[in-house]
Amino acid sequence: MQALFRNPIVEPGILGTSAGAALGASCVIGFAGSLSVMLPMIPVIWFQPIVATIFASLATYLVIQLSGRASQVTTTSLLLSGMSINAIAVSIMGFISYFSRDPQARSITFWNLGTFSGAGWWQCWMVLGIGIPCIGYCFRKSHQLNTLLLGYTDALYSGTEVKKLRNQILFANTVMVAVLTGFVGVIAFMGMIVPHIMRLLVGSHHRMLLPAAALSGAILLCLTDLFARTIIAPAELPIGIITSLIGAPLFIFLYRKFSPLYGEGGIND
Amino acid sequence: MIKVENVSFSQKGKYLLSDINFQISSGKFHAIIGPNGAGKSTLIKLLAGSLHPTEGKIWMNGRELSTYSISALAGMRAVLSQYYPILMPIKTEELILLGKSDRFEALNSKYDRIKMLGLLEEMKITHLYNRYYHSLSGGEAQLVQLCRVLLQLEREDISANNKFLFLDEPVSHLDIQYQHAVLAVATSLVSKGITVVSVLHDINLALDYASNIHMMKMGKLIRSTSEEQPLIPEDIRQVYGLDASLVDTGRAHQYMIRIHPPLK
Repeated sequence: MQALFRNPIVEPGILGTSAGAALGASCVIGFAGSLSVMLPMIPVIWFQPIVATIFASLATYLVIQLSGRASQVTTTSLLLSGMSINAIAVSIMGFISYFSRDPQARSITFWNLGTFSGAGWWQCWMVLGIGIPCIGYCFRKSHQLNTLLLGYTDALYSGTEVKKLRNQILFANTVMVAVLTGFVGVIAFMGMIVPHIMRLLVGSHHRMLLPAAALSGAILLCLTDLFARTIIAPAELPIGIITSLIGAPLFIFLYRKFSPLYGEGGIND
Repeated sequence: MIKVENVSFSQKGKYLLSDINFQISSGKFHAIIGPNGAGKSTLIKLLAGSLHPTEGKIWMNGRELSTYSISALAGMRAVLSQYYPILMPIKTEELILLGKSDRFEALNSKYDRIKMLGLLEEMKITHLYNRYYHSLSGGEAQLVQLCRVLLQLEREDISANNKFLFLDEPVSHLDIQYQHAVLAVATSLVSKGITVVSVLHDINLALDYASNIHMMKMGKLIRSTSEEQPLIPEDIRQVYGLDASLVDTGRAHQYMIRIHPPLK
């Protein structure tokens, strides 16, 4: 994503993917009873990822459309449109949880903070089944993703079909994030922090960066989850609380320390 | 060879280029000069295929430009722009390897690496190879970008005569020694048979390096010089509205343009 928008701060949270998925999942939780009456054929557990994917795609699409054509997307326009779509999603979610009965409201809140408590083997296989082809696809395109570093026009000059690549990667990413968010909720900052750290460690080459970010992200999440489960045992802390609490300051620290690397867009003379 | 036939380009109802006709002969160094807003960069973008003419046709190697696929075009022509802001940390080596052809292969394919090292050696910038791109000076960065672009032109299944290097103001912001370093590399390509087309601001650099100078003004091609019909002071008056004279430098075939400042 960061390569696609040529911008080191892009993550699914900013692009509205997470918020959209969260809204979709909240709707399912809030209206689960009436949904299963309307469509009794489909088990409720299927709704969450499907609805989350639809809402996530919609929100991502909206954010990108609002921030202008991709060739001109600036950090500011992306942040602004992302913020407004996120705000809308959050307010609708608030509305739903306000009007739902207590167990559902609580599960929406809990779920917005992100938690592994609801995850079982079934969800795990589902995520694997969708995640592996998506990551594999991105990995195959790593050279083309690399060329985007040069800018859209020069990526085109070096033989990358930029538009096609952008749509495909966006699609793969939205599906992946939406399904994941549909199961475990919003886990903030992972999508921004992990690629950042890995970029500093292994460089910007996507053939190394993609697997490094995927693996280290998984490892970091497992560790955080372990912490979340044990710190106030026998209760369990939502994992999103920890990732935000640690992730945000860490992000600011890293950015300040390495900001010369990201420059202001010009060449140091 | 490139043939430009009655090409016009308009954006939002405004004509940036109108009715351009000319040919770019193979294996020569072509310069495009003219005042700001003359349409030089637009013309380069049309020739490189990132913009498409709104009227007229461009033929490259006997086929219409728009019928080539993006990846086929990437093997035939490479483009170096004025400068590249890069927002992510990247090693010089990785940046140059972005110019290799798009294949799914090992991280550092030996073939591309050997070619890259050869090019670095040729350009005398082997010492930059392990640096971070953002730590380079403007001139060093431009040489590294040139190296990437040359790697893109290394494909062996296309003959040198059918390959083009487009330079869009490649040296405008560089120190003199780097200006000549970049243009000397471009000249060495010409001796291999590759065609170079460059937008230049400095008329004297164009005189030094180019065999054909194409002069533009307000979206029109005013005149193309050749070895038989070289640049004359009258051209400068017509294109820039400035008084000028040709000065003999004392060396064989080396003339320079001296602009006479308007008198107060």
